[in-house]
Amino acid sequence: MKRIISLVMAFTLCLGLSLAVFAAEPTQEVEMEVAAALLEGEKEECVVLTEAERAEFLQSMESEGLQEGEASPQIDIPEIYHPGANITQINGYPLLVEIPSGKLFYYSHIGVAQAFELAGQFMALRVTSDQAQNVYSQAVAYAYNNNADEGQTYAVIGWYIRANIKLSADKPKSVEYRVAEASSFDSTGAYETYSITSQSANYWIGGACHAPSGVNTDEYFYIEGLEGTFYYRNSKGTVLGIPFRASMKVNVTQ
Amino acid sequence: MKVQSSPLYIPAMFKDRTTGEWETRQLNWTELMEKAKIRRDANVQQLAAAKSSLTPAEIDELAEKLYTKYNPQSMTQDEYNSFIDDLINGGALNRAEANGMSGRYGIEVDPSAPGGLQEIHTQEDLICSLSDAKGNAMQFLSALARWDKGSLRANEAYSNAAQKAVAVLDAILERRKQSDGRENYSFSRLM
Repeated sequence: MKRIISLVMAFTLCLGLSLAVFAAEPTQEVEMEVAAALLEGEKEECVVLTEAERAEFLQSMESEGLQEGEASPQIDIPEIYHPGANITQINGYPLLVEIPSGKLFYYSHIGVAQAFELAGQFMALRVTSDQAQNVYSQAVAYAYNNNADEGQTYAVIGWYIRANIKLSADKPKSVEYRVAEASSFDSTGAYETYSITSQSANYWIGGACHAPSGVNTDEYFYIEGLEGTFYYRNSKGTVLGIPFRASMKVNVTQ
Repeated sequence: MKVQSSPLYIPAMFKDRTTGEWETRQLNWTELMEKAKIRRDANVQQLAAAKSSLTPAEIDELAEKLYTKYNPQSMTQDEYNSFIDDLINGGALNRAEANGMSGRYGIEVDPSAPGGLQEIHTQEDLICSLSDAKGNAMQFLSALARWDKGSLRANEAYSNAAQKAVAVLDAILERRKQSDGRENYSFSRLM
């Protein structure tokens, strides 16, 4: 029993020491020093931890621990996250329909993607005519060659868009988005709302977008794609919103 | 009195398989979506009937059959498709589940709902295809299991399906390690 109590006390002491150092200067170097000090402390205080316990402890420290330049979550140092809703990457996949079954699908390995060095609220994936025709042909051929169902016909009716969006704010609230073209698929075209708790994180959003009327495989067309708003509270508690859109420009010249 | 709304048409691009030429035709979307609804309802029943997980005995049996055929950390897309087929034939997955696995059946989407919201925690969450994972099917399926595909009815079932496939790949990997160990041992004995 004494051993257990001494183990718990030593553990608490170690945690207390680490918090003080984190509060002083939250950097990666310091974190490493603390880890080293903790290991040293184990010897001096005769805290006997097994390898597994030690690994688990250090892992828990890391998971709660600090990235360079971030404040410790245990102490209340205000950290300002500049409010933003920025699209960092857009992936576009040819959206296929199986006729007559009505199955709507895409292949995650046949598509185009673009990561943006300068992320922004309103970003468009640009696809040239050659790129578009290439992935259309690949997707349709793949469907005919690999789908086991006989008697089905496949056609391209648009694009499935997946966008990587970074949302950040000190007091995040929620995000809502919809497929702008949804009115043709579904008369509601309603927004889906999700609550946001992370002050800064990236998310995948996605949706099936049909091509506009009058489309053909050569001429330029625009897909409005995913549109939405990120809501957050400012320091006065007022709810503000940042709009965003991940769209596609298809058959661009370059 | 029942009010009949006029059917909705949307453009669809068809490729002539003989000439290779593309042609745009108007598709009666209203009619197609009525058929799609029947199909989706049937799918929902199939997904509900799917096994939520595999027993250790089922995993072992599949791993024993498949460990010489697949390397979980290095697969081509064709091998991946074949692996999914083997899971269907082995009773681990049903056809409705395969529609969420990005194999030969692609990833089925629900046009009436956006595709969910998935927080990106790790580099693995950025994986969108088997090629993104450089052929590592374990990584790809683990990422796929975390995808939020938006359709509330299918999302959990697709996630479970990917987790079942990961469990089988895990067991295959273990067997391959054991097998490699035995081979190395035999080799060293021969030396």
